[in-house]
Amino acid sequence: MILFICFLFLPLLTGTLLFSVGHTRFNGLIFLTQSLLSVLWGILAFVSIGDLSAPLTYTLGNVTPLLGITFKLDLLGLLFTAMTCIGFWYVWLFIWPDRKEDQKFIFFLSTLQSTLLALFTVNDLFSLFVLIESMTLLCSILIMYKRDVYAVRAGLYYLIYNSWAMILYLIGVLWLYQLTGTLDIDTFRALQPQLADTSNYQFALMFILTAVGIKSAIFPLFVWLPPAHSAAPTAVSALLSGLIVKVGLYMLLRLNLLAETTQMTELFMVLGLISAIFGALAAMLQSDMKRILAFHTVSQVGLITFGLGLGGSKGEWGAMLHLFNHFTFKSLLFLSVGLIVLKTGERRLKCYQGLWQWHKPLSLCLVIGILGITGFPLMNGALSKMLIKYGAEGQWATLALQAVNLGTLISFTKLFLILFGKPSEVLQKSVPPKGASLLTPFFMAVVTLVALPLELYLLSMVAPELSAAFYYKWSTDVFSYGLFAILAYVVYKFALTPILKKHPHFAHEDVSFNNGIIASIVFLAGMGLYMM
Amino acid sequence: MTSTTFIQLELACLFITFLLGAYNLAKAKSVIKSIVSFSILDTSLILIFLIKTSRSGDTPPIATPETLQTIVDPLPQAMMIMAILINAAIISVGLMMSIKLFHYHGSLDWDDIFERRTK
Repeated sequence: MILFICFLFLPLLTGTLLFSVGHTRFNGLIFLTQSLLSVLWGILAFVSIGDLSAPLTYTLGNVTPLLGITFKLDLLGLLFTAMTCIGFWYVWLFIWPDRKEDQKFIFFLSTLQSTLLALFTVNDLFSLFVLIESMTLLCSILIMYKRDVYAVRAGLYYLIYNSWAMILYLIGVLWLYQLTGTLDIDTFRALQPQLADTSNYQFALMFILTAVGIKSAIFPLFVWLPPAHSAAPTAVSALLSGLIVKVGLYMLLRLNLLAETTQMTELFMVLGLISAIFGALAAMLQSDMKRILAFHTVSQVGLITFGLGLGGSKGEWGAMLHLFNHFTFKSLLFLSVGLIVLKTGERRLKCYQGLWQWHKPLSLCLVIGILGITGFPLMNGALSKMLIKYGAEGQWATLALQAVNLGTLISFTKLFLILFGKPSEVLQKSVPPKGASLLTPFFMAVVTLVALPLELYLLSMVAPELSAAFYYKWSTDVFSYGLFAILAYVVYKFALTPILKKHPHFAHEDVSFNNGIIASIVFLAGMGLYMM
Repeated sequence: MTSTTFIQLELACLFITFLLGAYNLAKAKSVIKSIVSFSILDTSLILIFLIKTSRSGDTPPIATPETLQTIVDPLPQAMMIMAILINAAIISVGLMMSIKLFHYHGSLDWDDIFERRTK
């Protein structure tokens, strides 16, 4: 029990301590905390895995779980807390060379870490609201940390738009409380089958699902994501894109929202596919490195939502693994791109021609990330994408998934082609990164590479038929990947480049705040009409 | 006027306030106006919920053996205090950020803030 509490509050304690002592000399303590936290996670995981039917729980104040705030570490919690631990390793390593004296930044980050750990283990609906709101607050402060117009605007946009989402969530939760008289998630899930068909429950669900849609950037509600993810400091954008955007998906999984109502599930599957295709299309049109990656987050999150809605062992495992895999390679891509941006001070894609000659190890990291996200058959992305694809076999969705794959490949062809040729003027003028700052991309590259064998091993233990399917389909996947890569190159060269030359303004379109709010209201109303 | 109809009237007014807040959030051109309408939304939601979870004649949630039957449900009260706190924090951070925005840019119009960063 005491270990569990330490696990939740250690980062908060260290951050506050460092901030109040005010001596930059002790800042290295965060690494000690982080190592301790990883060890604690290992112990807790070992204890939890032993008996999965009775997960580790702790109720604050030692009252009955129904009355107090309960923390529970089950399998879902373990996955997300593991992602938090890995995520903060690269955050600390990345900010260390430049910002080791910046105590405010360290304080906000370690508070965010504690908030996330609590969020992924808490077991009641209202505490979830409180923790997500605190997370939103901390994230908006971190987004505007560069203190210029664009960053402050993105931070404000993020703050107000996401708080609006949480107001919708609060309406849903309060409605559920009126209906069931409880806020405990376990009780709520037990009551779900009885409630599923009542119109009151559907009404509450409508609000909660709109909030989840905004949090996880489903198609019409993604408007806050591209500015926020491209304006934040690099380490924060990697964290936002890899981990924090998945809080919405975590809510879907934790509250089991897609399981009981088939109508809703179909709607979310379609919306997921639309956002997967839309994200890839929008990413093709961008000229800014970080915005390409931000739109790809929309695309991949849509894919995960589709997998979750699909259900069945293939869809579920595919979605869960893709959740983790997307975390690894998107963080890797953001970190390597961010390091280049940091050194050159330029974000336009065309300034990076000849990256391979400028810095080979960093280019290699970028290539690993690109191969991972496009689903190259030896990388972790291939496994999860394959599971989602074959889970949808025989349905109309297979064709759409192929289109998503092609779109992803086309926009990453754009990123891949900058490696070739002679270094551009911008690159020649700037100093290549050296030493400790390279550690983070390497770390994430190793995690990305190691993920596939680990996942295959896990699958062979839990669901042997799925890993067998991967080995079986492997050769066809290699073939189709090669075919698609050639197709993508052709489309990029002969269709996309002329279009972009003719209409360069496509890259700079952002949806205004008011239209974003209107979109969410229309989404809510549309969902109400759809359910009637 | 009986107390039930009075409560109904109150609820109707608060519901209209909520809708007005949402309308303003969708229409407001200025950052400050957005934050104000967010505050309106939030306040009306809290009041609606507090009215919905209490019956007329309820006493404050302090349980003694005599008052146990008549006290109001304490959980919504605690929840709403927390919600007020959280939203106060969000509004204050939002206002602080809009001050910064005004210093950097000289305007608080959502559509006016078009400058794009290249670094």
